[in-house]
Amino acid sequence: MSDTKLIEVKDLAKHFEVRAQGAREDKALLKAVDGVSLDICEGEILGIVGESGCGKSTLGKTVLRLQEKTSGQVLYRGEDLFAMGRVDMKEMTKNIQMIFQDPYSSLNPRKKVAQIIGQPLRIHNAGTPAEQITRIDHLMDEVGLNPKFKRRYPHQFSGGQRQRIGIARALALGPEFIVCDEAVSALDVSVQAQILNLLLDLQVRHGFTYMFISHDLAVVEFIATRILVMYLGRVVEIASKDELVNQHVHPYTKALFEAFPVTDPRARKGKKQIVMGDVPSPIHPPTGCHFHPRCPYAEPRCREQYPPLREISPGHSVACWVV
Amino acid sequence: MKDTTKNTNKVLLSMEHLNFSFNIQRGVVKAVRDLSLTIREGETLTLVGESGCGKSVTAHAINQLNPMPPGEVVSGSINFKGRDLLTLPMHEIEALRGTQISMIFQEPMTALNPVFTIGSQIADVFMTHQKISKQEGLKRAVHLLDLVKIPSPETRVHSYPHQLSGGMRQRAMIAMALASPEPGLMIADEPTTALDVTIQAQILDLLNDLKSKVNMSILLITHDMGVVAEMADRVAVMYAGRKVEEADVFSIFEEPRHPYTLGLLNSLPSNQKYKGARRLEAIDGTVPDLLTIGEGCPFCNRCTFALPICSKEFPGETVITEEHSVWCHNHKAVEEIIAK
Ligand SMILES: Nc1ncnc2c1ncn2[C@@H]1O[C@H](COP(=O)(O)OP(=O)(O)OP(=O)(O)O)[C@@H](O)[C@H]1O
Ligand SMILES: Nc1ncnc2c1ncn2[C@@H]1O[C@H](COP(=O)(O)OP(=O)(O)OP(=O)(O)O)[C@@H](O)[C@H]1O
Ligand SMILES: [Mg+2]
Ligand SMILES: [Mg+2]
Repeated sequence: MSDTKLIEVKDLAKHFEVRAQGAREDKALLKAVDGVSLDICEGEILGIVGESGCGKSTLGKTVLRLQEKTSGQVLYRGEDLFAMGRVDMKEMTKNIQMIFQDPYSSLNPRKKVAQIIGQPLRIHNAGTPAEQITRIDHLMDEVGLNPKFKRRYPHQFSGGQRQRIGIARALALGPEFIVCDEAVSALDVSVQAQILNLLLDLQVRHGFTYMFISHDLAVVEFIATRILVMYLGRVVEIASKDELVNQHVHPYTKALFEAFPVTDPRARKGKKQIVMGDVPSPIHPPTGCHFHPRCPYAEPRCREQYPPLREISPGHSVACWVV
Repeated sequence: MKDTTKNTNKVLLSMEHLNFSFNIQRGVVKAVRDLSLTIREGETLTLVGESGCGKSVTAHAINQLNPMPPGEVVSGSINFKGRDLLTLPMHEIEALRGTQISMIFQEPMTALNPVFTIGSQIADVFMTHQKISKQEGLKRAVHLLDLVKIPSPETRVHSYPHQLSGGMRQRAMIAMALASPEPGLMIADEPTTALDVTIQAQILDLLNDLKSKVNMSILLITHDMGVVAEMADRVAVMYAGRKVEEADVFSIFEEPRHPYTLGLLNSLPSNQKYKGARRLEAIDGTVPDLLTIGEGCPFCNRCTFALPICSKEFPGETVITEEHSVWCHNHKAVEEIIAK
C-alpha cells in the first residue's frame, strides 16, 4: 500500500427523480448518494458496508462514471472523470472496472464464455484476434477456469464459476481499480471463500486497488484494509479496518455490529441491544441525522441538523453529534 | 461444559428414511435421500447446507407443498403426533396446515394475499378454527400484531401487505402462523435471508421470544451459520440431499466430525482463526449434479479426507455421543485435526 491517492471523491451526490408513492403525479427526489467524500490510496481495499438501499451500488457506479453524477467530483490520479470527453473516458475504462453481484444476470446467456471474456478486448481493439485468443486462455487460467470450457454458455457453469467469468472479463484490459459490488453475496460460503481468495491473490499479483461493497460485515471485515459505513446516502463512519471493528463509535455502526450474527453459539447470551424500527425511506429521510429515530442516544439537535463528518483520531471520522 | 440441558421432551415430529425425487425429462433428481429427522417439543432444529442441497424440499415434504408430479415420495414416513402425514388424505393435511403446522417463507408475499388487509387475513385464520365474529377476529389480530411487535397495530391491522416494509410483512406472516389454536410446529424457510441485518436481528429475537411464550417447535432452514449459531438447539447438516452430520449446536461448531461441516466452518470469514490472515481455507470444487449422483458419499469429490470406499458406498451412522452422529467413513481423521 502506498500513500498515492488513486481516487478522490469530493462531495459526490447522485439524486434520482422518482414518482412519490401514492401521490398523484408528484415527483420526489431520492438522494441515493448525498455528499460523499473519500480517498482511496493505491493498493488499498476500501470496504463499504450498510443496509439495503443505503446507496452502496450507486456510489460504486458513480465513482466509475457508469452513470452521471448530480454534483461533486471524482478524481482519478488527479484527473476529473466527469470532465472527460468520450474518447478519454473510453480510454479510462481500461483502468477502472466493476464486478457485479449477480453472476446470473450480469452475463449474456446467449454468448459463449470466450466471447464474454473477450468482449472488452474487441471493443478496445486490444491486440490481433490471435493475441486476443491467447489472452482469453490466459485470463481463464488466471481465475481458475479451464480454458477447455471457453465454448460453453454461462448456464453450463455453477454460480462460483460464473462469478469467475465476470472476474476474468473485468481483468481483460489490465485495470488498476476495481469496484466489487456484492461480488460474493450470491454464493454459498464454501464457494464464497474460493472467490475471496482469488480476489486477494489477484490483488497481490497485480497490485489492484479495490472498492469492496458488501452488506456482509464478516466478509468486509476479512478482506478490507479500511471500512466505510453508509446510512441513507451518507458516510456515518470511516476508519482503518482494525479501528472500525474494535473502536467504532457511531450508534449505527454499533447497531450493525450488535445485529450481525456471530458464528459462535456461546456468544449468544448476554447480547443484544437490538436497534428497533425500520430502515427509513430514502425519499423522505428523517430530518437532521437520518438515524435519529432509531438511535438510543438521540438528543434534540440530532433531530434538527445533520452532523458533519469530523475526524476524531487520525484516519477515523464519524458523523454524530453525540460522540 | 454443555449448557444445553438435554431436551427430554416428547417427540413432536419424526421423519424416517425419507426419499424424495423429482422425475423430470432429463432423468430423476434425487433431491432428498434417506433422511431421518426428529423434532422435539419446544426445540429449534436447524437444517443447514448449500443452495440446492434439499432443505426446502424436506420442509415442503412435511406439509406436502412440493409439486406432485414431478415430485414423488419414493419411500419413508413422517410421523406427527402419532400419525403418518404421508398417508393422510389431502383434506386432513390441509386442516393441519396453518393449525398445527405453520410455515413462514423467505418471501412473505408468497404467503400473504395482496388484495386483503393483513388484519382480515389473520382474522380469517381464527375464524376457520373457531366460531367467532369478524369483529372478534380483528380484535385478536390486533393483539397478535402487537405480540410480534408491529408498531401501532390498531392502524396496521387495516394495511395491505404492499404497504408494509419487508420486516413488517415477515412479522405479519409470523402473526398469521400464531393465529392457529395450537401452533405446534413452525417451519421457517430462510425467514430472514431477504432482510437487512438489523431487521433480521429483530425477527430472530422475536422467534426466540415467542418460542418460550407459546411452547412451539421450530424447524429453521438457513444457509447462514451465523443464524444457526444464534438460534439452534440442534443442527442437521445436509449436503446434496443427504444428512451428513447432526448434533447439538455446540458440538457442531466446536467438535465437527464431518469434513463438510469442518470445511463450512473453515470457509467462514468470521472464523476466529482468520484474525489478521489473508487467506481462507476454502473447499475446492463444486456440488455434484443430483441427476447423475451415484451411491457413494456426495461430498467425496471435494473431500480432502476421502478414502477409496467413499465414492462407492454412503457410510452408515457413527454415534459420537447421544446427541451427535456423523455419516463419514473417515470421521476419525477429522477428529484428529480438531484435537490439534
Ligand atoms: N436508477 C434509479 N432510479 C431511481 N432510484 C434508484 C435508481 N438506482 C438506485 N435507486 C435508489 O437509490 C437508493 C440506493 O440504491 P442502491 O442500489 O445504491 O443501494 P444499495 O446500498 O446498493 O442497496 P443493496 O444492498 O440492496 O444493493 C435506493 O433507494 C434505490 O431504490
Ligand atoms: N419442482 C422441481 N423440479 C425439479 N427439481 C426440483 C424441483 N424442486 C426442487 N428441485 C431440485 O431439488 C433439489 C433440492 O432443492 P431445494 O429447493 O430443496 O434446495 P434448498 O436446499 O432449499 O436450496 P436453497 O438454499 O437454494 O433454497 C435441487 O437440486 C433442486 O434443483
Ligand atoms: Mg447494491
Ligand atoms: Mg430453499
